[in-house]
Amino acid sequence: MTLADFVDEVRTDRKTLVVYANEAAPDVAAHFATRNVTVERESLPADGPDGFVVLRDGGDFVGAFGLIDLAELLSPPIDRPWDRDDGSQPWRKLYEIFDDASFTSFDRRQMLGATREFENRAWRVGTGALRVCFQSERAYRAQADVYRRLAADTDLEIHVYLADDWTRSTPDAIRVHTDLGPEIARYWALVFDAEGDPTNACAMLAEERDPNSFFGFWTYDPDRVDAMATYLRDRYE
Amino acid sequence: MCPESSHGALAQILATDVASDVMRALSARERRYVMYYLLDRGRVSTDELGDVLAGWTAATERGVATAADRESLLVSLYHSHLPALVDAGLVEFDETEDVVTRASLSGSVRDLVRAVYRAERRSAVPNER
Repeated sequence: MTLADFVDEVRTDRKTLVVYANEAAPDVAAHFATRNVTVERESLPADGPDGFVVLRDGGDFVGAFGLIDLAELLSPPIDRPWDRDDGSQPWRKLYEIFDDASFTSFDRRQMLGATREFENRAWRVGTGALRVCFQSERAYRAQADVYRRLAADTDLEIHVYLADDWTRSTPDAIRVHTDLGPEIARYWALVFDAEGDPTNACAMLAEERDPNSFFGFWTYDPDRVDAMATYLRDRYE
Repeated sequence: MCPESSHGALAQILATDVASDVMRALSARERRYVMYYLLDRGRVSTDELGDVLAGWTAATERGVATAADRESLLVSLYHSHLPALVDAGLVEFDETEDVVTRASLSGSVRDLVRAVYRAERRSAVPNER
């Protein structure tokens, strides 16, 4: 088993994203046009309603939402996990809709936006293990203050995985696993087990296939989350 | 409500020679959406109408329509909205094929469907344009 296998496993799902929009609407759904998600387009009159999107899984309706909320999900604010507590932004509801749907060509900011969503969940739950692959020491350094506060304000057990070295001081609640090699260098991952609570377990995993271009998925499937946590623990701790 | 746009719609509605059962049929938002969509398409399955009503409503309300929301839209479509539109002579509903077809509509009915849709859109999003 490798991290690539988790990405492949999700790709066997069959989802369809039907975008109803007029022709001038931005093509935001393209980020989900992957092997497990087929994007179809239906045109709306130019003076018609705002665009909307319907997600189906194997023919069954999963959810529908405004195109504007998908566009906002893809241009997320630069914030902190504890800034997202009021749940007032409609686009945040879409994370659960896109459960196990693979995405492509996410840039760092889009990855960070999604990561914040799962960090926010870990922050709210406050217990359980949070495992985060940062690729490089440099990437972790940029988030070290956020993780210091996560560790200080919660009872989370935090594991940080780095492909290279880490020499700076770290709070006791954070275990930094270093020099882990090429697999960790390629993957951006976050796995939160919510201490076994199936309603709050979540994970995201993406491979940096080209510089600043990530292919991956996120999931709320507790079994998948558990398998990913087990893999990281057995392989790298 | 923006006074100018509602006045414009009202003037248009008063100027049209439309039977009162058509006006009544268009009193529900779902029926206005169905008619506006059918102006463009002519013929759609109820399955597609369920998706369109769920998506359109979710986009208007800035929320997510779940499978349960869509199911209850379909229930009211079958039990209330389609019968009202059929009675008003605006659509035909083939129950064996589950397909809704727009009836042939006069120009004034088409204008009315567009006018009420536009007035609703402007009043729902006052800051737009």
